[in-house]
Amino acid sequence: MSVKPWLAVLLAFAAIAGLADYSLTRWAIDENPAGNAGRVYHLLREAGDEIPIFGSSRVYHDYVPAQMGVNAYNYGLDGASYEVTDALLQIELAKPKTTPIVIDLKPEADHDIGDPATYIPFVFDSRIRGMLVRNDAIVWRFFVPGLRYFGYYDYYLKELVNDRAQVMRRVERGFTYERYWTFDRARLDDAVTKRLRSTNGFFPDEGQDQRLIAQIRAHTERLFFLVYSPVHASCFTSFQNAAEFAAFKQSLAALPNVVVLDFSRTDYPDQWFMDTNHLLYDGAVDFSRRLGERIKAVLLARASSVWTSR
Amino acid sequence: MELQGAGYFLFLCLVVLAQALIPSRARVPMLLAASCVFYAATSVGYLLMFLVLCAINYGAATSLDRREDGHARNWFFASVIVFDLAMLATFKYVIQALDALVGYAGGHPDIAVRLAVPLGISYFTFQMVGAVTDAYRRDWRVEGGLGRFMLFGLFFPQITSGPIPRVERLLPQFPVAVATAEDREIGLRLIAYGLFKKYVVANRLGVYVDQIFAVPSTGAALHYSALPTLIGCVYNVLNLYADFSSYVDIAIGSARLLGIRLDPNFDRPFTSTSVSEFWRRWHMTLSFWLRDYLYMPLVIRIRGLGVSSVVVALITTFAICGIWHDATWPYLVFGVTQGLAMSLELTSRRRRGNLFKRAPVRAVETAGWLYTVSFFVLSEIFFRATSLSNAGMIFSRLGELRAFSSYGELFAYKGPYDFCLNLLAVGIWFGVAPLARSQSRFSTPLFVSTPLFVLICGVLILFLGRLGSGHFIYAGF
Repeated sequence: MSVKPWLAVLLAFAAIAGLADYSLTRWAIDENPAGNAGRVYHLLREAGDEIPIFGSSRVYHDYVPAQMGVNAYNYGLDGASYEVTDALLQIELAKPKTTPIVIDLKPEADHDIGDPATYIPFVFDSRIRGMLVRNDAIVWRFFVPGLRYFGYYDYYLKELVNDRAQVMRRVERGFTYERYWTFDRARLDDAVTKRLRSTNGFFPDEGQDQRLIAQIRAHTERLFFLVYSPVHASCFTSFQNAAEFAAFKQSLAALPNVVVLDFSRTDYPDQWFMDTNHLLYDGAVDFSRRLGERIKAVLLARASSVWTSR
Repeated sequence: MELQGAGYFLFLCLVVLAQALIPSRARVPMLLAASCVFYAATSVGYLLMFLVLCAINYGAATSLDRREDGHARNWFFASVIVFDLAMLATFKYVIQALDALVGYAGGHPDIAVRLAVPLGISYFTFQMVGAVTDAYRRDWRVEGGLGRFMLFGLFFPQITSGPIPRVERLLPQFPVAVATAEDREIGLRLIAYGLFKKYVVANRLGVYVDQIFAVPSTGAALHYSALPTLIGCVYNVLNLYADFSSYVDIAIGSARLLGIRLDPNFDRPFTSTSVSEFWRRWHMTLSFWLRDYLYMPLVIRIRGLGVSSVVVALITTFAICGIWHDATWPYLVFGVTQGLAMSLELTSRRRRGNLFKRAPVRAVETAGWLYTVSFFVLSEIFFRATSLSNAGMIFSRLGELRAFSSYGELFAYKGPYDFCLNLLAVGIWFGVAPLARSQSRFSTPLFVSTPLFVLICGVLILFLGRLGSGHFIYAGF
């Protein structure tokens, strides 16, 4: 077996993989703030006076910055728990900014980080890498240009196509409007059935809570809005540890630079829910307007304080 | 260590390199050591158990080889077979049954969690039973020593999911195995094609199939009309074939890199024109194993029943084949339907011959192909379904008059992008498949050199590959 053709194959593969890697990073990720990875890229580059909103897909679909009346940007990431928010918060807090920060919280803690593809382009950033390592989601391939996007090309290209064509969704300041998300009674009923069968309640993760509180205490120059966004009423059927939940919210609100806004029990009609956790567009608009008004009211009340000064 | 992972290929490279560098007399110990390392990565305890079982079976085979024919020999053979099958049954069924009993009694069923089914125990047991039976039938003259027999039992490329080797064909190859340039080319070609099928086809189609077969209120289950359900059923078969044959290709390719030839496991099964032919082309090493060690002895034992003996033996054999996958009703129904179809084909052969005597051969073959593929697509519903009610749900959806109610439903709620990529993956598979056949290198203009073929597969995997669950479906059996 001659070695020459195999060397040629190796070189050709390396050239194709390298070129594809560069092109994908340049055009499908960096220039696509609508994609999940693009959001992280936007956060790393942003140096203006944006109010960042961090959280999971609930943020992604429920928070409409354009309806909030403040200069907010939606950094919601699909499947992201506080583990991700923590890393993004570290990036944000390292900036010389004094704008408020909005964080969407959930009563039940989890450790999901969503699709690792979101973070591959940033594994050399110690904050992102730390989050991946902590959650056992790092793979050697992520450090090899040309191979790092293996298995995810379709993921990034799908986001790019979505962004360019806007057939399936339209993204505005991070908020994702799914064009084909309409109310579906069967789907909601299925989600409600599952929700009723599962255990609902306040199940915190002490480590995550301590990290959040430590960040808040270390950055008194920033005002933190800790928000519980609206969920379907079925989430509160046999809700466990309700008293502890109330006490936890009180303990957070006691911090001088924290405002807790609990919208979770807002009485929305079924027609505004995609499933038990996510709002459809009408619900998202209403919630965002209400949230925006509350934020503006708080900022106004504190207008003379450090929170809004630059 | 999964066969599609980078760790496995690093391991394989080291073994191939070691085999090329060490003296020939050290090859069997080196391959045995490598196989032990491979298995130990999963479980050291079960590795030790397999080594002990190898020793017991080798001792039994040697004893059977030396003993004179007679009742004592027959009883000894039967007891060894019962022992081997009891080991398999203990791990595959008894533990589950005990757990179920504990659950019924209100206890905490965790025996199955603490005693996971040893990886590859089915295939290992088939090999042991085959070897002991061959020694009993005097088809295999026991030789080569315990070390070589242990290597036969634990040979790393095939221990997890086959192909199931025959002792008289595999054992003699170990001490003399030397990989030629052609072996290496064919090996690399098979591995590249296997990886392509796993990453580009199987992992991708699996997502659509999972959606369609999801059980309501336990997964993301939504209603699907006839067309998406039918697409899901067709993808189910393609997914299974791509997944299993990818494993087999990587296993055969890996062995070929070491100069060892494993038996083929698939021979273009979807060109079959009858279910009987299909099973001669699908999972061939299991089919032939069942034929030689279960079906034929059964037919001989009940031959007094005439044609019925064949029917009974076929249905029994395939029922056991179904139950082997798992002791559930859907697998039993899957096996019985295969046996019934083959029995019907057998008993109606003469009548069909008379009926289609004047029909054009091409038309008869096409009709046979359509019947075979349709039958397999439908019967595979039982293979995939988690319960008979789940299978019933799929069949009832197939019977709906409405093709689909929305594009979202047609796309299995994964969007048009993924739907198109699924079609693209299947289309590319059909395009790449003819290029993969190394034996056609001298006979077809479609032949591309191995390096170019590997490059094509590599690029397709890089861009279209999907990571999936990281497991092969058949590793679960």
